[in-house]
Amino acid sequence: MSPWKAWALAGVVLYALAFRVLFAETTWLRRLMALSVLGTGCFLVLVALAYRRGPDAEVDPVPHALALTGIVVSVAASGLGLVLARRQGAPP
Amino acid sequence: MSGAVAWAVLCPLGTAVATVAVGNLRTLRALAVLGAVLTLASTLQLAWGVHLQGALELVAGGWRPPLGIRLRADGLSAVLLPSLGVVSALCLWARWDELRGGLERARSVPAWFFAWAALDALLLSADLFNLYVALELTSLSAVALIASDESASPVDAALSYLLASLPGSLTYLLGVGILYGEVGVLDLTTLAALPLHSKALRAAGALMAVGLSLKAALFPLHAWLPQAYREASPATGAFLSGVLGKAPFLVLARCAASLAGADRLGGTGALALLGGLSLAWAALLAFRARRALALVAWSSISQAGYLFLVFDLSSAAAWHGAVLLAVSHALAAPALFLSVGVLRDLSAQDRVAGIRGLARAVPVAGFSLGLAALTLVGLPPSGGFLGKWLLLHAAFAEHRTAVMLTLLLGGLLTAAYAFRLVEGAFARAQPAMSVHSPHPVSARIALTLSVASVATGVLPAPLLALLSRGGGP
Repeated sequence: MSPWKAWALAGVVLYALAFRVLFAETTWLRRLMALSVLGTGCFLVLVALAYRRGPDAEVDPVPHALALTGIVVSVAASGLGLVLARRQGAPP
Repeated sequence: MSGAVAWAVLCPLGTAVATVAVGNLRTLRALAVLGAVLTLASTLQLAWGVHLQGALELVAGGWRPPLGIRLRADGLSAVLLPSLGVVSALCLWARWDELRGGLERARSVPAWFFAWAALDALLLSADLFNLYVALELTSLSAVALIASDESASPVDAALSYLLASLPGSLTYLLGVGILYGEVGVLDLTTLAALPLHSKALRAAGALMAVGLSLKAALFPLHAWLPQAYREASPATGAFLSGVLGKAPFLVLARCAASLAGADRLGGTGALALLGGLSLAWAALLAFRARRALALVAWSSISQAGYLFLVFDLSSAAAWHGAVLLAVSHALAAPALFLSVGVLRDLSAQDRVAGIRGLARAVPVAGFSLGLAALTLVGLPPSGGFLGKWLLLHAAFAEHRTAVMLTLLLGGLLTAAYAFRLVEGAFARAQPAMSVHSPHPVSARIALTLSVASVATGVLPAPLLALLSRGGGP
């Protein structure tokens, strides 16, 4: 398996694991972290796709741009989630 | 003219940024009014531009795609931008009237304008990734609005909304990533012309559809949404269900237009099926609801199911019907929320039975309740009727019996729960009123919205002409 496919698979595995935690009965903080890992899994897939043309060909900049934008949005969402969780105080 | 494309996003965004740091309530109100007027003016100018020239385009900053962003205003944008804008502005006015304290007003206004800006950006997006960003921003703004509400546990409701809604958009993003890996193109117009056959693409399409169905609270992924609507205040619920609730459906419509079709990515029939199930299930739960706002919340989910039926049809007339249905729902659902909210505030309690006989106390709210129910059930001459008629016609032409039956049964089911509200409100009973004073502004806004929803059925020609002129989704 080529390296980029291995990384993309790792991203999908992260996504699946995080999904499992997200819909489980745990504390808000764990679910927020799972949300963050969910995003990371998706971005890992995107970044891995940039190298799909092979080790010697040019790296595709578009998935990198997509991943960067996605990371910014994810950081904002995590921030919002943390502010809400902190305001709530005790875990559920 | 293409500048109007940028202004439709920049005006609400600028207002949001400007109102974040303002403490003085008079200045805040003036800024909000100015921002709303400018945004509506730019959306109307954009609609006029589409009417004159057809679809408008703008390449942001002069940087060409794929690394740059191209915004596009077609018929769908031209129709929905002004209508959803008007609803947003009126709901904000109702919200301002609802809130007595200055702090809550200061919190709601920026989030409202952020949501408006995100929605405008969504309607103007021309590629899959920009749709993701706009959709995410819509959800985050909705979370902020829910958190700044005065319900029993706003932070809980906001966190639940966040944790249910964001996985949907991330799943959509994963699908977009896989699609890009296969095809190398994100632009919707280019994708519409490409052949799309492969297992990876089907997986990508499935991921996108599942993610967006979760966001849209389509059956069976609907359980997370009603609590956000029924816990929220009537004006916030009106905005969330009437305007922001349309966002995932619109993204799905854009994707389906470019990716689905004969010999391409399938699965749209499954979406229509789930839409029908959503319609029926939510209508049943609305019929059995005990609290008034819970009934209205389930009614919104049920009506959203109607829109998903269009995915099984492929003619232009079907899209016209769906857009008309979307516009009339965007007008009628907030009217329903606001009028039920006024009646509920006047009654001594929270339940549906509590609004018995209250239409006589506030005739304006009662009348708007009746008109909104008219549109939702789909009785002539309302916009809801015309939208369903167009869909029914298209289903008949394409021999989609299941869609036809769902549309007809849906009207019956909607009538069942709408009748609970209307019959209760207009009953000849001595109402049990509390000492709360009613909100005259909310009642009048509800009246405006409900009259407009009926007017879209009486005068649909400008909307439909604009839709054809600019081109479909």
